[in-house]
Amino acid sequence: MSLPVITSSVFAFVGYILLVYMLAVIFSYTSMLIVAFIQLGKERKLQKSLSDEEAVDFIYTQPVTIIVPAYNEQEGILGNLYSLLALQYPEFEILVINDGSSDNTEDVVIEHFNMKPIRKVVNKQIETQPIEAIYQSDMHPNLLMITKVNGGKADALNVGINVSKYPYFCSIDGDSILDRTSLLRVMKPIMESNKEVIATGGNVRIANGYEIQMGQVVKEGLPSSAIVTMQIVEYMRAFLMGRMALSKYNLVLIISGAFSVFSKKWVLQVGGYAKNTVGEDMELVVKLHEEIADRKEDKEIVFTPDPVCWTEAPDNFKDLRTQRRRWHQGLAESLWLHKKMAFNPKYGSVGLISIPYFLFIELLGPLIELAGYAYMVLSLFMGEVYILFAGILGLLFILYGSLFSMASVLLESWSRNTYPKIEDLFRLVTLSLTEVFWYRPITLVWRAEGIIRAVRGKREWGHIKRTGLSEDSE
Amino acid sequence: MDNFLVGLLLVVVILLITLFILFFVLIFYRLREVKNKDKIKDYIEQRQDDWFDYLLGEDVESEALKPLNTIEMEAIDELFFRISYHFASDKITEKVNGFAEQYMKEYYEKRLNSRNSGIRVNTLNKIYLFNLSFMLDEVSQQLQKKQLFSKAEYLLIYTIIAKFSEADFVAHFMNPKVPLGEFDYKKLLMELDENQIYVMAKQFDQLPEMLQLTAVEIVGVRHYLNWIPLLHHCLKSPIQELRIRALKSIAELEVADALPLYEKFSRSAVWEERLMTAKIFRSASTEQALPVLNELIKDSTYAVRAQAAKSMKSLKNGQQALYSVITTSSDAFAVDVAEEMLGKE
Repeated sequence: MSLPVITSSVFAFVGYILLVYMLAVIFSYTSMLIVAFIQLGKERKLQKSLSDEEAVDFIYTQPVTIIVPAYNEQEGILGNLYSLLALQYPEFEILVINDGSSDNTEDVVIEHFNMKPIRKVVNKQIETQPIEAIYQSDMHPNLLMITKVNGGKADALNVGINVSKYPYFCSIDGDSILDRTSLLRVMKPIMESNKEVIATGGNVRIANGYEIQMGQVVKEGLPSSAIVTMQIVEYMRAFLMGRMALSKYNLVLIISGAFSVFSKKWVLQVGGYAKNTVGEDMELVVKLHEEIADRKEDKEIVFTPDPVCWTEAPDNFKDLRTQRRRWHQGLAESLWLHKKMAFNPKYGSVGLISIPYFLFIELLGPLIELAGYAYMVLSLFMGEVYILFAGILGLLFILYGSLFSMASVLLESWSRNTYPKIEDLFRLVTLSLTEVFWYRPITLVWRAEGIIRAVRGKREWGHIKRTGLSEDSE
Repeated sequence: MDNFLVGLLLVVVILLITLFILFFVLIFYRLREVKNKDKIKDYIEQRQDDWFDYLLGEDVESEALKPLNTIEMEAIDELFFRISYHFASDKITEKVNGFAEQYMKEYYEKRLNSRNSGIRVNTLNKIYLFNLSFMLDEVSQQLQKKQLFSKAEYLLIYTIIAKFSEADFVAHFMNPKVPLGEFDYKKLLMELDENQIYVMAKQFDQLPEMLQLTAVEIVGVRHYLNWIPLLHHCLKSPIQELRIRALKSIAELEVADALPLYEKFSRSAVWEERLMTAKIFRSASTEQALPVLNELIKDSTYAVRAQAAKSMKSLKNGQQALYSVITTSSDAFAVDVAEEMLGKE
């Protein structure tokens, strides 16, 4: 066999693999979209505000410790704390963990909330960097700040767990904002399941373009920036074609670190947050699934679409790159640290479905997709047969890159009766159709970079510049 | 291969067209929905004064407010919600109930039997919130249906039955159509008045364990002082959780007249029982409490030590007792927790 023939057969073989892969991905996304559609159809008419009131009674709820790890968050921390202090919840404490910030985070909080140093015995259940001081607010006795030696986000969260006095804790990013009912609604699955649910994650939404005062969303709106709007589409898509379906079958591996609640007992059993990964939130969830299976207990980890946490999305390519690289690196590290769970029947559907899904579709997806893009370009030089192949791949890319996004936008707006406004809806639909031509290829490259960083073992979080969501930020 | 490509292209084009059609259908419904919302808003703006006159005044006839179409019913339903949120009086409840029974019975019945579970749950929530007692029979009939409902729906149905009937609820609570847990029973029991709790407590030993646990907790939360004998009865139970809950409720009731009965739990092997004992003794006299709390402040479990220190602080001369722990105790953990309680540097 001559060399060109071999090259040609190898080329065709690779093409078929890419094709099969794309079809498999499209199949799994379509199934998830259908599950989300059915679920939303049941819920879209439900007026949740009707049942919020009764649940506010303390007898139904468990007290919660809210942990806010803050490293150089002087821009957003006040808005965040105002929104937390306004939460409708019977009993909670707020612990701001100042992780050795080099900016004015500590002074801003001390000054605004009249914080005084206190003495407190800390039950050191997880090993952490030392605590330097503990402050309590004179105005709000349930607000505490713990200043510690810098040790990273996971370390800060672990300090929060050590200091916390309640059986559940909620982790919130220092630059995010919660709706008044968010904590109540995120705790609902735990209460209603009679504590069978040991962790829940709320829905994180992008608030760039919103009007926010004193930690409360005053007016919703779509930002003018295309990068941010594209991320809004992406969040909708991730929610409808991922978390919602996975959650229904207890297959969730990622609940956002920006807003999630955990049973302290379970988190202590697995030793708290891991410090050897940049994706400590995902790693914890995977570890909890492992523990549930090891103990043969019937516990669940769920994602709840309704309680909303508002966050500030990066509005430039540089910051977006840092964020995406880190997310993907975190995903790679979490899967690597728990590789023994993959394809292991002992871990039930998590080991047999969830981990393979995250491995082949979420983690390796970018590499394979990039290969697909390269293949398309190469095909153009390989002659007529391959141009056809390139055409097929191109169409599949459009289907999976843009049409799914458009479908998600439509499904989302169908499920939420009056949001977004019609003109915004037009913009979202148009933009989602362009995704495959610019946004997707760039994010694929960044995600591939994340994999490379994971392989090389880089552990930096990378800094993203924040401007603060609330108008009253310092 | 060619055919495959053409087929695929066709699929993509069809999908794209379908999505665009859906997009326009969505916009059509959205526009309609916005229009209906505006109509509801207008109705409320125009008629809310009449409604207040009717609900709060004496001589306004309901006839004048009779809804003419579904949009008006929806608007009135929204008004009821706002009223139930801001006002609570027997007179308003009676008038809302009377009005709804006369003019909107069909509206609520239709919604209660809707195919969409969201609408059914909303209706049940409203029957509960607006006190629409005339719907009791219709709600009870839901249970006769072959159709299976979600747990949330069953719970709402049982809650409504408990709210509007004196005794029918017990059988439902004991044999629910879906397994109920602690949270569910709490929701149900919080609906009951003391008489209803009494009806249930007469059969206490026959109740499912989870219902027993919840009933015991409710006694503490609601401060039913007459129920102490029942709590004492539970202290003898072999079920650990029931003993803990009984101790917790005794602590909530802030009574300390059977101290010898409680004191033995300060030596229990279960830390939760020791914790609750520490809590109970905050209501005892300083002389009776100190010997027990002085032991519990040295407990091996942090939560017990912290509660003992807290109880000590709330005693008469409690600060002094904590100082004495700091100065005389050889137990470093006890000193720590006492210092923390005093807020000392």
